[in-house]
Amino acid sequence: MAGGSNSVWRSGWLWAGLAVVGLALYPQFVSRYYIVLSTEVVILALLATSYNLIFGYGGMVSFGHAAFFGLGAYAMAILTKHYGNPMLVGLLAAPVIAAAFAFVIGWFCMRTIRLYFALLSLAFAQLLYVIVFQWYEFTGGSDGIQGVPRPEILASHASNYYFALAVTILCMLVMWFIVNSPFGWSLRAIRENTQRSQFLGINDRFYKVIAFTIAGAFAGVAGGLYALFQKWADPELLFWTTSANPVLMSILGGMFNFVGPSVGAVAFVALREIIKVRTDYWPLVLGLVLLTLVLVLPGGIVGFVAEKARYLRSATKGGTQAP
Amino acid sequence: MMLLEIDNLMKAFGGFQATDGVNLSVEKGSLRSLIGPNGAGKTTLFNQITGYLVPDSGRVVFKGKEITGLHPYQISRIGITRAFQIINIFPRLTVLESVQLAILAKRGHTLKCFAPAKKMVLGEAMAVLETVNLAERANALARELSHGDQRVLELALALAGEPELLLLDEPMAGMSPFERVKVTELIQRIHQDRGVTVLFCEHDMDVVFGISERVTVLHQGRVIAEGPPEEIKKNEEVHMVYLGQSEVN
Repeated sequence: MAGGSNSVWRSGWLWAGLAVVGLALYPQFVSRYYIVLSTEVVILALLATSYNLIFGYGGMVSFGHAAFFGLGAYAMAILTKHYGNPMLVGLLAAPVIAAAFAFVIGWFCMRTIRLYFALLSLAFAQLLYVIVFQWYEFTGGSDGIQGVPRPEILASHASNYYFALAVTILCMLVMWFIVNSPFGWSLRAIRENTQRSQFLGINDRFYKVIAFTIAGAFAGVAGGLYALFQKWADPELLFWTTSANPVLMSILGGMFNFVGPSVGAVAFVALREIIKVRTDYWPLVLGLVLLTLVLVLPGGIVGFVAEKARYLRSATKGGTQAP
Repeated sequence: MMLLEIDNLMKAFGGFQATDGVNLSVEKGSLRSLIGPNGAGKTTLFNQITGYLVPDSGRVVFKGKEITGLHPYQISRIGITRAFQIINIFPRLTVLESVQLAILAKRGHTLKCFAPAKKMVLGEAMAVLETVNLAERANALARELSHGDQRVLELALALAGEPELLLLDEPMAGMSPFERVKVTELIQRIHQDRGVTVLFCEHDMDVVFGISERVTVLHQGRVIAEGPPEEIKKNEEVHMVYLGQSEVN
């Protein structure tokens, strides 16, 4: 048994390695359009994966994740453009600032559960949005901050892609360790049965605040990368419609799998690009696709594939696996 | 030495006095059962011992320290764990993961963010599963187990918390006669081999009188009798409570 699960574990690393090689070689074969698009996908994958720490693993539906994404973007924009700091300072400050806000907001939100939690997280995010929107001297108000400087080394589209990819992979690796640690398991246990987790000795509310903070930090990194990628930060990044994106990506790709949200990010951007050139009603079509998915594939794309793979494996083994 | 002492515990829900001045002492190393008709206040009492409910007044003392009003997560860490009357497990965690997590939580390792949980306390977790005869199902998801096995996992979770005092709330509820025999043996084994003090409530009188060293009878939130099984069997008040007035007349 242990050997079996071990080899699965190793093959997981093998697949991850192949994916990284593929992602690294890919820009050599495609046009600039796809490189730019892929950069966005990579950043959104990081955002969605950070969100899924609390959504899929922690079982908390937050409608305010954009706040931390936006804070990260503004941290990068303000620190580099207005205060002339190097890009790396911005990229390190982005998660710190986002995490600080996430800790405070999480601490308040964790007093409530389910719908109340979702609405409170939304309210906090909208509050931050309004502040950013109104505080003209500091944030540029509705104009945002234009012209976030990119260092020389990230001048080309390809180098920008590679940089976003490298940072995202690093963050994903850290998150992968977290979800497979005793802390990550505790989060899953809290999601599955909060009351029982308390009786095991887990202080659920504290763990949820920590998870919320970690998720906020990585959303901050994604925001910092995003400001660098599009060279500006605007209040839209904190708006509630932006909060919906990681929720949709997680559901689309599969919230009970580590790579689900990343697959969801690819599917989301691909859908958007395909639909956008054909109709102005892209949100409508997206809505229909989501509706179908939730009804037909409740586990998302990855959940569906994993289910089939498991079924095939057990069929070839002569049904040793329990149904 | 008394492991658990309960002193004049009171708890009311609205106008209903669910716990009405309960006094109870459980000696270290004993196997004690708690009986009483439905609504006698057994589960409410367990909820107060484990911190799920805060008593209106009275004290709960464990190993000489007052634990009244502590949170469930604090109480389980100091050595009181509990199996529930209704199945209360983690549906999408595997059996092994659930038990590993229970051990990790008890030992205070659950805030570790970078250690691989899969490889931690593996031997200990498998030992618990061997004890309860669930090792073969280690990699199944908890929700895939049969009802009887889920009840056993419920017990394994409580056991994995390395308790000094184990509270079992109707561990045989909904089990087949065959499963009852196995769980009865299991409770005795846990008590004897691991030296765990056990306090359990159960409606199956064969089990209660068969394995308990002492029996406490609860009725309308009060202790009405306590003693060795033979004594309780002969107690008239207990008969009245269980069999109704007509029996006595």
